[in-house]
Amino acid sequence: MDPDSDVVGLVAKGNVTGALRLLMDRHGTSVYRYCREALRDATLADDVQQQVFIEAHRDLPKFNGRSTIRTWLFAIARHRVLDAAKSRRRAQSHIEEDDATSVPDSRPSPGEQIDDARLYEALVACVGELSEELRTVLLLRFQQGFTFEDMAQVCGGKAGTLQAKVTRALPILRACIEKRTGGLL
Amino acid sequence: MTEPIARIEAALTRLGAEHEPPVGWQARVLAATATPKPRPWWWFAMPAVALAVIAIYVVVRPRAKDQPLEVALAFEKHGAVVRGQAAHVGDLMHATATGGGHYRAVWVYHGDHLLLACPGATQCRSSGDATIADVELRLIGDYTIVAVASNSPVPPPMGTLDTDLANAQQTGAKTKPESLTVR
Repeated sequence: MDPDSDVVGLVAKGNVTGALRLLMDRHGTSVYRYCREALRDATLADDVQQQVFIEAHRDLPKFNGRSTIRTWLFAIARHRVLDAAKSRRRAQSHIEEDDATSVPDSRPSPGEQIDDARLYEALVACVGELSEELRTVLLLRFQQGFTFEDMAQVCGGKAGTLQAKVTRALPILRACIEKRTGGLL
Repeated sequence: MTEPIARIEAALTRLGAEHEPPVGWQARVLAATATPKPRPWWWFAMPAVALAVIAIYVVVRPRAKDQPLEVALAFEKHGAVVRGQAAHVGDLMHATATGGGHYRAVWVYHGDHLLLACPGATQCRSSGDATIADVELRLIGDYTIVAVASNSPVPPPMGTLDTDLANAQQTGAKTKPESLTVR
């Protein structure tokens, strides 16, 4: 049962704006956080988040119920994030990449275990260094808590393939974090 | 000790948790998705209603031809204008006909004889919806001032009061005679 079935009910009654309000209340923050981490840009994330809900408002009457509303919403969000990232790449193609991310963070003593705060700080930077594809699957899986089956509906791939991508991404993240911090996880 | 990958997974679940959407984002979405409020049915009827009101006004409004035929006399005595029937030789009379129809005339008779017919003479003028005859009263005796109105052209007077009145009434014109004694 879709926890957002009341949203569908409102749409069926013609109250699309009411449905949109519910969606924004329930999923606005998580969509924003997904957009922000996927794009690494607060302003762009703000724009994309709004686009997502504007598009949702437009397409809610056509929602076919083959997935949950939340999955459907994040499929929209993923597309809009990819579009925004593509546009940004085009706009910034002539600008030299900032090399600041390669600078190591302040290091703990060799062999010391990285504390949670330092781990998180390094994780944020390392997620930004991942490819868009791997970043997307990690965000959907862990930040948003989707199952691989849900992720398959969001991304349009197979659950097994997405699981393999997650499995591949985690050691890359680990290596990056340990490299950045100079410590052990 | 927690497995390194498990620590990363746990940290990933908290990723971005410190970020909140900007204040007012929902209002901006709602503004962007707001469809213009549908106009009430009567809004679309407004131009037609306005046209109908104008048309009714044009048709029904009080018009000169619908107003009753009236004649008013005023006398000018050495520059002072006095209304009423008390006139003396040397006074300048202003006989004003209003209403009654689209075509209007003022005929002035001394006794039974035509002195002046307006419009057409130099002492005639019109002002707004009025036809005015300006007559210097040079003769003592009885005058008759006849206002004539019709929606078709008024037949020109032949020269005698009774005949002219009869002719005018025969054509359907309205007539309004006014008597005046000049001393």
